Amino acid sequence: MKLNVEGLLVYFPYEFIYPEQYSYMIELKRTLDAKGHGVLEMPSGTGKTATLLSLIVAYHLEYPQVVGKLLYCSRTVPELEKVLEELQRLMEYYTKEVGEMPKILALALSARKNLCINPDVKGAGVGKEVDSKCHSLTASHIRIKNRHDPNVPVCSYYESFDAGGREESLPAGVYNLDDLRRYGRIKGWCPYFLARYSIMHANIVVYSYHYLLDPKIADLVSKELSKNSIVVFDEAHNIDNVCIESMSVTIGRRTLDRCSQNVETLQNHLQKVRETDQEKLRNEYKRLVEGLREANLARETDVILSNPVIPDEILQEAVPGNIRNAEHFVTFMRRFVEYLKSRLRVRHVVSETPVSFLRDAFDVVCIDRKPLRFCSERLRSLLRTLELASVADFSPLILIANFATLVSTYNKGFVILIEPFDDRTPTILNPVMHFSCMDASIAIKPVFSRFQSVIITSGTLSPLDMYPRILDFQPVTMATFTMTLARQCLCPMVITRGNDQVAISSKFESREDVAVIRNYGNLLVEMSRIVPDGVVCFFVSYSYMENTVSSWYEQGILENVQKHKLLFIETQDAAETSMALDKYHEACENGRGAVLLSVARGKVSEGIDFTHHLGRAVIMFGIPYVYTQSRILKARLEYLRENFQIRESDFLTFDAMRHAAQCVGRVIRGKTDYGIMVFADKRFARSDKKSKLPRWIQEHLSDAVLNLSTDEAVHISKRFLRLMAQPFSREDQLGLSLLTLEQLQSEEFRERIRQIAHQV
Amino acid sequence: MAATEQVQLMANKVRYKKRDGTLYLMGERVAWCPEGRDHFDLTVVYSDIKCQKVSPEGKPKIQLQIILLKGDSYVFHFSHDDPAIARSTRERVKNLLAQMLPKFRRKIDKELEEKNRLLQTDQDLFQTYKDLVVSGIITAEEFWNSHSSKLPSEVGSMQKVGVSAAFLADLRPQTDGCNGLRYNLTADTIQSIFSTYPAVKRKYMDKVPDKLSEKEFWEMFFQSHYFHRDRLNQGNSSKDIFSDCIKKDDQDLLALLQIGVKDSFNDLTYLEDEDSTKAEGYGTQADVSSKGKPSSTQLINKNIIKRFNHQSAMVLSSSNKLNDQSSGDNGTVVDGGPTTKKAKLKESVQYDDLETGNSQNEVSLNLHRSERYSHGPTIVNQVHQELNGQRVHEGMHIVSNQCRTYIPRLSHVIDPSQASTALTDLSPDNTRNHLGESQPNAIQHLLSPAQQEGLKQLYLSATELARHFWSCFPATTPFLQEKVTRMCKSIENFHQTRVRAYQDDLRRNMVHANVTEHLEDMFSAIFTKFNSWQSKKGGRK
Repeated sequence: MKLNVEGLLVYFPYEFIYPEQYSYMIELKRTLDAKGHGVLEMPSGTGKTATLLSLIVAYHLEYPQVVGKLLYCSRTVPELEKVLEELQRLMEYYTKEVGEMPKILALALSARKNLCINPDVKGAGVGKEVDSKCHSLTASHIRIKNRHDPNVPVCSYYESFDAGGREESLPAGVYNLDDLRRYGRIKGWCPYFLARYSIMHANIVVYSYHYLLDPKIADLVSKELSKNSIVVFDEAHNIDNVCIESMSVTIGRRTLDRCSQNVETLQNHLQKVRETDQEKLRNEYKRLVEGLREANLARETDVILSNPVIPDEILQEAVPGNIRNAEHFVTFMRRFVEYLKSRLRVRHVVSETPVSFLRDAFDVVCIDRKPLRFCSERLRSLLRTLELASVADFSPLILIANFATLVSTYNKGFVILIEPFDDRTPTILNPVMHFSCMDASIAIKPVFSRFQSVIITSGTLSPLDMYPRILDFQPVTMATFTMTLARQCLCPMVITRGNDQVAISSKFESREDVAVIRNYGNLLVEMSRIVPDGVVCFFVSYSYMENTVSSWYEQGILENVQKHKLLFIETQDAAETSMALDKYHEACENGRGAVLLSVARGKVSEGIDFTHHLGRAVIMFGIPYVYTQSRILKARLEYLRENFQIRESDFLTFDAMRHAAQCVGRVIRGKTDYGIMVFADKRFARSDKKSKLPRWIQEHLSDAVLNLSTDEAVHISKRFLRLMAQPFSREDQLGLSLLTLEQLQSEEFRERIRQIAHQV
Repeated sequence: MAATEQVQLMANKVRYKKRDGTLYLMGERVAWCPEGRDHFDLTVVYSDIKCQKVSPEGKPKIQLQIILLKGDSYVFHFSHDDPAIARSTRERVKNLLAQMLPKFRRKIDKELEEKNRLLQTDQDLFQTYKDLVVSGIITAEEFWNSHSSKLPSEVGSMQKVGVSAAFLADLRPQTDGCNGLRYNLTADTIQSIFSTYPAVKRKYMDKVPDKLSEKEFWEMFFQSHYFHRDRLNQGNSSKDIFSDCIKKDDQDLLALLQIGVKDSFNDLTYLEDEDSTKAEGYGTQADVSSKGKPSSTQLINKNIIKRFNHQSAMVLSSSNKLNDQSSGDNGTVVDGGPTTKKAKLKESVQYDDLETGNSQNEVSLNLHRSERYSHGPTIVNQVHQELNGQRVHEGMHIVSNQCRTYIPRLSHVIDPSQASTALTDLSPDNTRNHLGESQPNAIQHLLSPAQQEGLKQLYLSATELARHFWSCFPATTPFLQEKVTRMCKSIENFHQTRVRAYQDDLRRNMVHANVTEHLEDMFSAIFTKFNSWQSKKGGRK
């Protein structure tokens, strides 16, 4: 249908529209008009992506000068593929309505392992190996060698891309990962480099967060993207953690040992080169004197590491004299590694700021701050000069160099923690140094300041005001949308006690209580008895799940579960879990029904949807608080309190509840879907927890379902399931949760739509 | 005949009905001869035996029971003075019987039973059967061919019962009162164990009965760590014959992991879009490998989880094996990925309710009073069975297609006047039909109930025969030609004996109405056809 969204003609590729979709479009358009940032929460399964894409594409076609490009960031590879599929659909609709396809080039970018078509390289399977193999075939010095000696292997796909791929740009269209590979095969070009090259002139780029947030990659990939782009972070409820992860470094004893080896290897290489080809080193030295700008001209394939932070002023400066000479630099690195080793030898926990760390380094080994800042640049240059074949071996040294640059660049928002042993095993010495980012805004700041509009959206962003605070930005729009429903298809409830009236909770003191474990078990047995097909359960952590499962096994509860359904359990091994998940699907498809035990914050809870019969009920055993004894977390909480005025308990509850909402949200994937959401912990009933759930869940959580025992919950569930099994037709929905174009234009609905958006 | 038969096993001192004697196991039968006699008092052909049972181990009497298909049973008591010898003899007999019985157990048994049951329930059919088959007019095979629809569908196509996920849980040990545990194993449970754990089956084939007795095998199984899920303590692995099963399982698991999952949406390793710089050491998580060794309880917990996953997967695949054989293997299609993936992607971005069209295809539950459905009596929770939406659609589609394309071929149907004459010709009392409606009832007045019954039987048999006869035309194959001749002879025979006898019977009872006239017409039509067919055939030659 063709919509008029406050004066903008939007092609929406469906015949009907949900009221909240229209409302979302209005809010989004206002954000774009204001050229500001927005935070929008809309329930999963209400066609968020389709809405976003149709509005932004329409905006782009109408005002190409204002909105030049759309950068759509999502979390997982399947999500990316889904976005492009939706876009494909939109383009087909345009073609049908307008008669020709709009001149839009859209493509996905992913890691080499998902794009490579060279059979030799692709066979490696694991991401890191594919990368290093690719590098060993495409590095510029290898290619130069190949010109002299054809026996040196190179990648034919890259060669032909390099020969002709840059002149001829990709024709307009939507290129999913598979399409890119197919195109690459036809042309004989490397799809990965083709995609990386093409994002410069593409209108829509879909890739994962890291390409924009992780400074190490963002610099390579997303550097020259124009300012008038719109950035969308979908599934952004976890964005602060992505930011933090991308800026943090963890160094263990093993890493340092391997670093020492790396330094030795470098030293030997250097020796060899000095004997054979002194000219090379002299050239490098000269280049360094001229400044780092030179480094930007490096060929794209050579960039094996990039500076985690390149503030512009650094690029103006030359590398300090004391590390310009290659030998001096290697010695410098050795000294730094030895210094870190000595720091790891402490027997007590150390927590310090970057400033005091640098002062100590200066006092002990006379390492100054300035050369440290240039460490990663200098190492990059050296590795290129030495023309090393297997750069992947040097990853520990690269890590240390990155750390050096980071620690000397930022003196606020970071903490250095040295822990001589793991808290859980205080007898075993296992020193680890954490360089931990505490401020999520550091990594995302360049994004906010560079691009005119950044949209943060997800199904679960409540409480909305938290995100602008922890990411430190000023949104022009903050809105949460409810799900308009013709029938109440989600059935959230809080179970606070078992049949024996013992309160159930996963809080630390009562975790090991046999009665609690048994009550949780009985809840699972009862639910697996009455719920058809799939039941998904989430525990608060792996260790808690393992303990509970073994107690259940001893108490014979699992056997009772098995009487009704097959049982699958998530493990920490991704391949094993994938297998279990696949079997779980199979069991649900063929009608046996299955139970999946899984972990909040685990891979399943983040990336797998349980649509329709794959998940008819989800049980959240306990509140998924993060492990609060961790020193990193404590430091972060303290930082948040001092700098952003966020109380510890507020943040912890916020974090726990967003994960709980993520977990339970996995089962509702649309208005025709239905599912039971069980919050099994008495603490969920408290208003401080409840109020942090997304609005679309909260509004169904009436007082009547806040304090249930297992048998009461079973009773409600039975009734709910029977109601939901009734036929559900379009006529039931139309006018309530589904609108035709005429209805949309009527005044009455305008008023209702206005109420759907809930401004914060 | 007994002399020529080879005796496979001879067991002395076997009591039957309190008499001592010798039990012989021969090529085709079991026989028992009382002491001091030279003829068998009891012989049973193997194919008549349904199953054998043995007395439990602890019992003082060492017995073996043979149950026949008919339901009778014979109990043999091995009464050697030394119980050990008696037991070993019994074991030998049992094992040999166990080998022999399957050879003679034919599928036919089952069919025969079915047919038998059908004949017993359907009196008319039984009468027809007696008239035609027993009297040798047509063969049994021909008879069943024309009645095959009445038989329940083939045994092979019966749905096989899957393995319950909780089959091990059902196997609750009971204490026997003196520090022991008893497990009750049924054939079903054993079948479940075998199909879930192929390694155990292989082991069983290996060891039983040469190295271990069945009982010892299961004893060891229940004692083994394989059965108990904490399969960690492999210290006493020398005693545990199942220790290599564990290794085998682990290998299988690894092999499965190597293959990976077909659906990339379920592949967690595919989720993450890691680039080269997202290597170890970045982020706040410490290196997993550098963590301290997990404690033994943690390991046990992990193992339990692993085993549960494995068991569920095996249970699932045990039922899939059957399906896979019929529906062709889709395992070989490794790189058929892109198209299915594309379809899956398409499906995942589809919002059915936002589009018009296909909704009328859906099957909806039609309830008169839906509130009764939602609140009504709920004693048992029925297993909610959801048909695969696609299958339902397909089925609906096919059926609706057929309905739509159905054309009543009116042009091929004979015109009404001819149809009505044909109808009258074929109906009995065709002549009288013209006279009035009261006539058909006349039979009831004319004939006694017994005679009516006889006439009915006559009709049933005659029509059966006529059907066989007419179904042979056109007689194109030699077999059919032969059958036509045979059928005609049978009919003649039938006419001569049964119909004549009936007519005589009527005459004797002073019934003069010609009630068999229509039958005669039928027969004469057959004979005319046969004669013309034969003369044609002769002419061609």
